[in-house]
Amino acid sequence: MIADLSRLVGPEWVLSGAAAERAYDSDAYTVDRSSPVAIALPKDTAEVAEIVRYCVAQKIPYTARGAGTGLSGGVLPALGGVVISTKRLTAILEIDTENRAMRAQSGVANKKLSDAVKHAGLHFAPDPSSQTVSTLGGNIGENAGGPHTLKYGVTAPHILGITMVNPEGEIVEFGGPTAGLPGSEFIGLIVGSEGTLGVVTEAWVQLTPIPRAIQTALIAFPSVRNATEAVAEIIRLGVIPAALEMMDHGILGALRAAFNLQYPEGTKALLLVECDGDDAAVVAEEMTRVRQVAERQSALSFTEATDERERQKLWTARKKGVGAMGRVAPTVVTHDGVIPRSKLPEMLETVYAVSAEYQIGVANIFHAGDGNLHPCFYFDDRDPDQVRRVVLAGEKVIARCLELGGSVSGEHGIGVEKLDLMAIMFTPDDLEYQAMAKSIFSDGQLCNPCKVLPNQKSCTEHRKRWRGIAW
Amino acid sequence: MVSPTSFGELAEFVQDSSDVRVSGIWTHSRVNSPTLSLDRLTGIVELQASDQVVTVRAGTRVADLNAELQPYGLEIPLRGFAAWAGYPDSLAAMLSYDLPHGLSRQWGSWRDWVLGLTVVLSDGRIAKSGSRVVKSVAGYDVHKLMIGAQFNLAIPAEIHLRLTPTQAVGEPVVPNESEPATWILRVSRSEFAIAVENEMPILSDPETSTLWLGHRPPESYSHAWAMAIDGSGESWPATSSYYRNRAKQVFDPAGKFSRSWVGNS
Repeated sequence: MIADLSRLVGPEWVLSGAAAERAYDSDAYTVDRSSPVAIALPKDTAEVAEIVRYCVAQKIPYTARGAGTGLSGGVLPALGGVVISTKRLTAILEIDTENRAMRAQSGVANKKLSDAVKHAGLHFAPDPSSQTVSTLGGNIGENAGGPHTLKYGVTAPHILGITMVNPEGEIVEFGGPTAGLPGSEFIGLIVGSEGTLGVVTEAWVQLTPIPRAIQTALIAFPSVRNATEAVAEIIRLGVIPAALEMMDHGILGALRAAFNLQYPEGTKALLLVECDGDDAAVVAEEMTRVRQVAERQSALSFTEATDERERQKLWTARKKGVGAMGRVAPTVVTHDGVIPRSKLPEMLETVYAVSAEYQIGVANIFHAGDGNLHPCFYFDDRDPDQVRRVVLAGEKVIARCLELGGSVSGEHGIGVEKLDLMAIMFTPDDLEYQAMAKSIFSDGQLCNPCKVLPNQKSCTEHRKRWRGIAW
Repeated sequence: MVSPTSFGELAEFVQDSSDVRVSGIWTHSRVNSPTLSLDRLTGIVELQASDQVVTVRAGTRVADLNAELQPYGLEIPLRGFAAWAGYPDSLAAMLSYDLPHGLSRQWGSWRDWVLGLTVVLSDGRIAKSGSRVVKSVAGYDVHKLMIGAQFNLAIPAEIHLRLTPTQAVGEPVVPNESEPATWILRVSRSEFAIAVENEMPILSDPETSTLWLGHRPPESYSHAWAMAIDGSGESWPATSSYYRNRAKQVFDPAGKFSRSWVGNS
């Protein structure tokens, strides 16, 4: 196989051996590992197509991989399969600032898309926390979100067109630089399909004007409930912030330990609010209303940025929060669940209760405006009993999300991590319906197999699975 | 013509029928001898006003839904636009045709508003995708495929919709008196001014470079598309039917749903 792949892409672009297998045997969901036989690094769509055709002819499973920052095992290779890395698909192919569209290869890092058009006052709006490394292809695979999803949406609305190598090895295109072609649209199905319908090699993306006015505030509250009530009230008033992010006392403790960041005495929760738009007066009015809400919810402080430097400083608490957890414990599990925004107070009470019940520390950082929470359980994975308790705690948290009318995943995807939970969220007919949609593109045998839908045929190599909970 | 009032009745009809044609799609309907009306599959199932999400039966008229939402300060931001344009007025037909409206750039459209969808499949089974929350990556978003599918793949029955605060929504510009539009043309931003000058639209939306016309526009604009909204089914450019045919084979192997796609090559 190595020799065959080398003939397709060049021997210097095929990796194999123990070190390569280890580097590519998982994404950031490290509890599950599966060694590929080879990793191929094609340079363009044509080479990707040749690799896929080879795999189809030889009946070898294959998995496309960007930066490997996924958190659900979405790019876990099939045992004995091939990883198709997009590391060389890093060209920005066309920039059309007048029409606010850009065509790029799928290996381009998210932030690089925005950097390329910043001079024209434009950006690629989806901003996952991993944006400096996560790729356009990965963002498409997981329908990535981020802090600014509340106002700007997830990845799907920003994808105008896709070039993909389908599971037959053919190069197919959907959409193009102009949005809204009439008729059933497959882009919405492909985005978020976790690389199981084909290998996306290029995409036309919608560029969004950088707002002329941005106001950012960090608000300290004496309780988590005050903070969640503030979120509800802001939304009820009809204010649509660009971002509405919350961090609880667990995260604050980690930030203090890691970066010596200090907040007012008695702070139990922080709310980061960002309003933006083209009309500075409207943005200022929105922030005034946010301040009034904060005062009604007994805010301890309301710190507003006066320039970009201060704005970045205020964002530190949000962007560094999870990383700071490394100062608190050797191991951190970041869960991903969604509930209706109005259920936030109830859900957080559940998270704290579960933490107490299973005697596992928890810190919460989340996209409050969307109801997308990321409870971070911290523990020592050298202790098997702690591991067992973390698993049980995670199951309870996600189950409660479903009880409250939410979803098992807000942005990390299903991958292999949450396969078992799909049968709780959906009925057998629902899962069959999804399988039908998948079958338009793939029989599920070779193209990133055994992901997303449970109980697929021929997934024997994935039968022994950690019980569907994130690490 | 059957007018079911429940999922069960709808499912039974679809299961037993070999010819399902939904009525009342266009003002000038070209659906001959419709066999199915969704006019009685109506009503709000659950409104979560604080979350700005509503679950509603698919036959509900948009105007009726917005009237019920008004006391809560929420709406689907179509306002009077759909009425002026002669668009289909039920939620099921609106999402099945996914036509541009006057506030698309500001407030999105059906692919942004539909969070989850329950449908009746061609064999009578009831299935859903998506959820009731504004953000979810759980499985395949099959509802995205149903938007714009023109009733070719399944029949929408119930929808989870994201709502917009009324006070934030401006008014789309709608002509007071005009001839009805019969075509929609969307061009690139760079060609919008030329298109307006050449085609003298009844209405145009510079935010999305969309024009509403009383005539068939020429196929001379690059990266553009056009679609008739008089029920004739015409459009350009011709788009690949390969995946649409595959979708049709999967979801409607017996061919009992609508037999043509607007935009089919």
